[in-house]
Amino acid sequence: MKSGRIQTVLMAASGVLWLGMVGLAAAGHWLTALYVLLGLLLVYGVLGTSHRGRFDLRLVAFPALVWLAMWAAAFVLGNHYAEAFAGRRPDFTLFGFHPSFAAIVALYWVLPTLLMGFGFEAVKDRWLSQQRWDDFVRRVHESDDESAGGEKPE
Amino acid sequence: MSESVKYLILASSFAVLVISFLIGLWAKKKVTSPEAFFGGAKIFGPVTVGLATMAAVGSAFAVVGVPGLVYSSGNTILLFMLAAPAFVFGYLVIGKKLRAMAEIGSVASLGDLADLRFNRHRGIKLMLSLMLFLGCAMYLSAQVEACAKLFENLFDWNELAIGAVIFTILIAYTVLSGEIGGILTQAFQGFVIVLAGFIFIISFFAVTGGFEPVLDAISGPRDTAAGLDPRAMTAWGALPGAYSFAWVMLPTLGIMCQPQVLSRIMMLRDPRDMPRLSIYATMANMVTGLMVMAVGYCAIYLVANGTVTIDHPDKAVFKVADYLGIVAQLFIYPAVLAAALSTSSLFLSLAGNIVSRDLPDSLGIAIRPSRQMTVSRIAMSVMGIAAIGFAAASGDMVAILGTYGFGTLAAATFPIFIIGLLWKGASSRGVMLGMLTALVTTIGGVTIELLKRFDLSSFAWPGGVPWYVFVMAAAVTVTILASLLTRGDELDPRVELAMEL
Repeated sequence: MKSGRIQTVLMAASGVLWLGMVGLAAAGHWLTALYVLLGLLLVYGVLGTSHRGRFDLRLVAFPALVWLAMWAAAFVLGNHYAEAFAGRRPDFTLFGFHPSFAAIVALYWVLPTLLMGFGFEAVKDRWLSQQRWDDFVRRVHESDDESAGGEKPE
Repeated sequence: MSESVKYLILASSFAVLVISFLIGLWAKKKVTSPEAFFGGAKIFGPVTVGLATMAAVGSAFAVVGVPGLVYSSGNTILLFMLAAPAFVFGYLVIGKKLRAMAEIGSVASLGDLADLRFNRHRGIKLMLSLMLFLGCAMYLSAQVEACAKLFENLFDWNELAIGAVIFTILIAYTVLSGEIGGILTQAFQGFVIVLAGFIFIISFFAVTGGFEPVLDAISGPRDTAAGLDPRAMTAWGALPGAYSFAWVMLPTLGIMCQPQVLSRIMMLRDPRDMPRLSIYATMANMVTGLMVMAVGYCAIYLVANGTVTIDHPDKAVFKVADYLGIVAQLFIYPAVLAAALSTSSLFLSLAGNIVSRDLPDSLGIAIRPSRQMTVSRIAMSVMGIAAIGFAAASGDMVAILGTYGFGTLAAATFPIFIIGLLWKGASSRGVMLGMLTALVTTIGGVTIELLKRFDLSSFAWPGGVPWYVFVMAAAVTVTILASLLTRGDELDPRVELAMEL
C-alpha cells in the first residue's frame, strides 16, 4: 500500500478513535476512554515518523511505545489500588503516597518524563540527522531559486 | 501579616515587573523588522526556548489554579500537570515539520503557517484568528483572576484596578519589543518560577515531614469538618472520573498544538536542538509540577490540622506562603506574578498579531508593516480590557478558566497544525469546515457555561465530560470526514518537503 494511502487510513482510524474515546467517556466509561487515548497517541506517533513515504517504526517503538506502555500500567495500577482502598486509609504507602497515586507519580510522571526526554536525545540522529536537515534546506533554496528564475520581468 | 512585610512582598513582586520591563527595553534593539517583532526570528537556543515555553504553558493556571484544585479536590488536576511526557511527544511528532515550515518563507505568526500549508486560504485564516482570539480572552482572564487573588490577599484592592495596573506595565514592555522581548522575559519569568519551586518544595518537607503525614491528616478526624475528602489522595482524586479523562486527554493531545509551544518551536535556532529543548522544558515543568503538588498538599495538611483556614481554593497558595513565612512569601508572590505575566505577554502578542496581520489579511485588507505594529499595540490594550471583563463576568476559578482557554486553543489549532502537517490529504475545505465547527461549538459551550453560571440553564454535558472535549472531538472528526469527502489541495513542493522531513 502506498504511504499516502496508509496515511489516509491512519488518519481515518484516528477519527474513529476520537469518536470512540469521547463517546465512551460521555457514556460514563472514562477509564476505557483513557486506554483508547493511548491507541490514538500511537497513531499520531506513527504518522509523525513519516519520511519520504516510509514510517520509521523503530522510532515509534522507542521511546513513544515504551511511554504508552508505562501509562497503561499507571492507569491499571492506579485504578486497582483506588478501588482496593476505596473509602478508607490504605494499608500501605509508597514514598508516602497512596499506592494508587504512587503508580501515577512513578509510571505516569517521573519515569516516562525521563524516558521521553533522554530517549528523544538518544534517537536524535534517527529523528533528524544533520545531513537530512541540510539536504532539506538545500532543496528548499533550490526550489526558491527555480521559482525566482522562472518569473518573468514586468 | 504586618504592613512592612506586605510592602516588602509588593516590592519583590514589582521587582519582577521592573526586570521584565528592562529586559523588554534591552530586547528592543534586536527588533530589526516587523517580522522579528511579530515572532519570525529564529535566533534562540534550547535553554531560552525551553524556559520560556514552560513559563508560558505553566501560567498562573499552574501556580494559583492547580494548587487550589489540589487542595479542594485532590489529585485529579495533577493528572493535567504531570503529563510532562506529552511535551516531548509533541516535539517528536510535529516539531521538525513545523520548524521546517518556518524555513520556507517569512513565518511570523500561526496565520502565516496556515497560509503556507493551505495556499493562503482566507476562510481558514479568519476562523483561526477568531478562535485564537476567543482562546486568548479566556487564558488572559485566568491570568487577571490570579493577579487579582494575589493582590486581594495583600491589600484587598479592586480587581479592575489591579488588572489595569498590571496590564499597563505588561503592555508597555510587550509593545516595545514584541515577541523578541516576550521570549526573553518569559525565560526570566520561568527561572523565577523554578526558583520559587525549589523554595516551596524544601518548605513543604520541612513543614509536613513528607507525603505520608498529609495522607494521615486527610484520613484523620478533622477531614470532613474541614471539608476535605480522603478520596482526594487516590490516583483519580475526589472529582468525577470524567475529569480524570479530560485532564489526561487535554494536555496530552492539546500541548502539541498550543500556540505557546508552536510559536516557540519556530524561534529555535537549530531544529536538532529540539531534544535538548524538550529536556529543559520538561525538567522545568517537573519542578513546577512538584511545587504545585507540594503547595496543594501543604494546604490540605494545614487545614486538616486546623492550623489555617482557606475560604477560596484560589487563595490556597497565598495562605500556605503566608504560613511558611517571609522567605517563601518573597518568592511565591513574585512567582505568581511571573507566571501570569509570561502567559499574558504571549497571548497579548498573539492577539496583536491576529488583529494587525492575520485578520485583516483574511478579509483582504492590506496594512503596511509599519502600521501593523501600531494596530497591534492598540489591539493588545483592547484585549487586556476584554480579559478583565471576561474574568469579572465568568467568576470562575483560575484553573477552570485556564482549562477553558487550553481547550479552545487546542480545538482551534489541532485541525490545522496537527492534522494538516501529518496528513497531506487534509483539504482546505475539510479544515475550514472543522474550524467552523470548532467556532460554533465553542461559542455554544461558553454560552451554556455562562447561562449555568447565572442559573439560566440546567444543561448537563453527557457523562459530566467538560464541554471543550466535545468541541475538540467535533472539530477533529469533521475535519477528517470532510477532507475524506473532498479533494486534497495542490501543495507547494517546499511544503511537501517539510511534511516529509
